[in-house]
Amino acid sequence: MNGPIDAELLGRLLDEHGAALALYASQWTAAAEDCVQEALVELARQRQAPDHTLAWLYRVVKNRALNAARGARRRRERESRAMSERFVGDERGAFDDDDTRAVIEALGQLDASERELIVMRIWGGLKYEEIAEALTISISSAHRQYERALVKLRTILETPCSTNANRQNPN
Amino acid sequence: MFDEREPAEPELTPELQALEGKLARLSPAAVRLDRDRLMFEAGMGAGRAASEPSPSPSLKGQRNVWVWRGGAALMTAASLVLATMLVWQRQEFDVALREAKQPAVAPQLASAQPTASSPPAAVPEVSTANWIALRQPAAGYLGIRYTAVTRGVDAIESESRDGSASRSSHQLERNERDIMNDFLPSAKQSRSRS
Repeated sequence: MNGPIDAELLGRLLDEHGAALALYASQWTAAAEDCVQEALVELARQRQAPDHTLAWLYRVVKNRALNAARGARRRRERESRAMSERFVGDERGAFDDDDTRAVIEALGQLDASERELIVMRIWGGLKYEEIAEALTISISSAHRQYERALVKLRTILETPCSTNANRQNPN
Repeated sequence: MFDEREPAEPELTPELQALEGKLARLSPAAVRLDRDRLMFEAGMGAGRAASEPSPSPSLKGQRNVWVWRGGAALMTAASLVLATMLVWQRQEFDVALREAKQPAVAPQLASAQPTASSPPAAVPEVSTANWIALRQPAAGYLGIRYTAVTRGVDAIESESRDGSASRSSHQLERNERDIMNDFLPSAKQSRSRS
C-alpha cells in the first residue's frame, strides 16, 4: 500500500541512501548532490509513494544527472574525477589509498551500464528486483549483467597496472 | 520475518562474493545537503503539487459522455434522413411502375415512308407523371438494374433476348435508310418531294 510522502520518510531516505545516490549520480555529473536533492523534492511532490521508492529515486537521480551532464565536453574525465571524490576509503583498513584509487580506476574502465549496476548493488544495497525496476530490465537480466560486470571488474583489478609496474621497476 | 513466497536472490560464486564484500568496505562520502533547506523545498513542492488542479476522472468521464451522446445523435439523424429518402424513392418507383403498366402508344419509328395522305402519327403527350415513367433507363447497366428492381432477376434474361432481336432488326432498317440518304441524295430529294 502506498501512503503519502512525509518528512520522516524523506529524512530516512536521505540518511540511509543519500550517499549512495550521490555516488550513483557522480557517474554522470559533478553536481551529484543537487541531483539527489532535486530527486527527493520530486518525490515529495508525488501524491502517493511509488511502488518501489528506492528504484524510483535511482531512476530520477539518473535522469537528473544525465540532464545536468548533457552537452558538456570531456564528460568522461569529469565523471571519474567526480566519482573519485565521492569515496572516503575504508574505515576498517582493508584498503589503502592505492587500493582505493585502483578500484576507482577499475570502475572508470567499466561501461556506464556495468558501473551503475555495481554502484546500485554494492553501495546502494538494492535487490535485483529493485535494480530491474530502476533500469527497466528483467530480474534475471539484472543478475546476469551484474555478475558479468563483477567478473570484468575483477579482471581489471587483477591485471597489473603498467604505470605502477614501471614505477616499481624503472629499468 | 522471512517471507517464504519471496524468491531468493540468485547467488554469486565465492570469488565474486569475496570481491563484492571487499568493495562494500569502501564507503561513499556522506552528502553535504542542507537538510532544513531540503525539507523546506520538499514541503513547498508538495504544497504546490496538492494545489495544482489535476485532471479529475469525473471531468474526463463527462467529456467522454458528451462525445458519445453527440455521436449517437449524429448517427440517429443520418439514419432518419436515409429512411426518409428510402420511403420517398419507393413512392417514386411505385408511380413509375403504375405509369409503365398503362398501355403506352408505341412510337412510329418504322421504316415506312411518311406520305402526304397519311395523317401524322399521334405523338403521345408527355405529362409530368408520364415523364417519370419515360425516365426509366432503357439500356446499359441502369436498364438492367431497373429491370431487376422492378420485375425481378429472371426478367433480365428474357428481356435481353427480346430486346436484342428487336433492336437488331430496327438497327438494320435504320442503317439501310442512313446509307441510302448518304449515298443517294437524289433518292432522298425525290422522297421528300413525293
